[in-house]
Amino acid sequence: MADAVPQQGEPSRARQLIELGGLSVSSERAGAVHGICLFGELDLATADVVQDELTRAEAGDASSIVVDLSGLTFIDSTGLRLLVSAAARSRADSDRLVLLRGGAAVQRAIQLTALEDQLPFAD
Amino acid sequence: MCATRVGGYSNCEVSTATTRQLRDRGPAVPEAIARLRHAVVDFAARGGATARQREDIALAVSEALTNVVQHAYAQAPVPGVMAVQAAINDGSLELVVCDDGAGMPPPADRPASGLGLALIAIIADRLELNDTTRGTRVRMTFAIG
Repeated sequence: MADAVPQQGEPSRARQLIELGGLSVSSERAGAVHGICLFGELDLATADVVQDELTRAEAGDASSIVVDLSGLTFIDSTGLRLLVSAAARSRADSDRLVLLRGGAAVQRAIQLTALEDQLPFAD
Repeated sequence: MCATRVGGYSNCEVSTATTRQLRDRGPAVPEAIARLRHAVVDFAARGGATARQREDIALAVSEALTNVVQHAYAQAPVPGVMAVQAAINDGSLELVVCDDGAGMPPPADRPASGLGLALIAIIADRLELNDTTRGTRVRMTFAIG
């Protein structure tokens, strides 16, 4: 039986890199901003790790949660649904979520699903 | 299973008068979706699909495979097989995604699937859904080149 891990307070700057299948997630708290950068492919197999990072960021006290989609090469309706749900939670809370746009494939999926208006892009 | 039936009815057949064909399959689990998606996109690229067409095909096949993973074997003790079959004829790619599962649950029991199927309907030039209690077959056609 392992010893209990001592609980530590959230450091002001902590970076995590998680890799799962075709997706890498970099999650970093820097001052008042929690940044989550996604690289690779977001689908049913990789959505949970993104959801976990969003949940972790939302539980913190960052004034802004920035999700950078620019490194994503693929997203499908599973990934888009996850982002739309996060956006809805953000609107109901304190509008902390900000999205940075993805490349052509990501923008194409957003265009086809007509979800642009439901996603809080920075620009 | 669906991709290996010979001689009789196959849940997965595409048109036979073709020069190029793809057949691939995997377990109906989330981790298998990306590999099959890549196989279809690579096949489409070899057939001359543009970047935009490859993006759209990737999205459509991913939605169809996700539906299989989430619904086809929901009542089965272990996930069964999902298969993709594709052929290129006269500037169009015909793609079939099929399974040997119990069919799709009624729409009210699968609210998350609505967006996926709607996306396929938007992307594909033609969509045919054959949903039975012995398996589901989604047949899509895309113009390429």
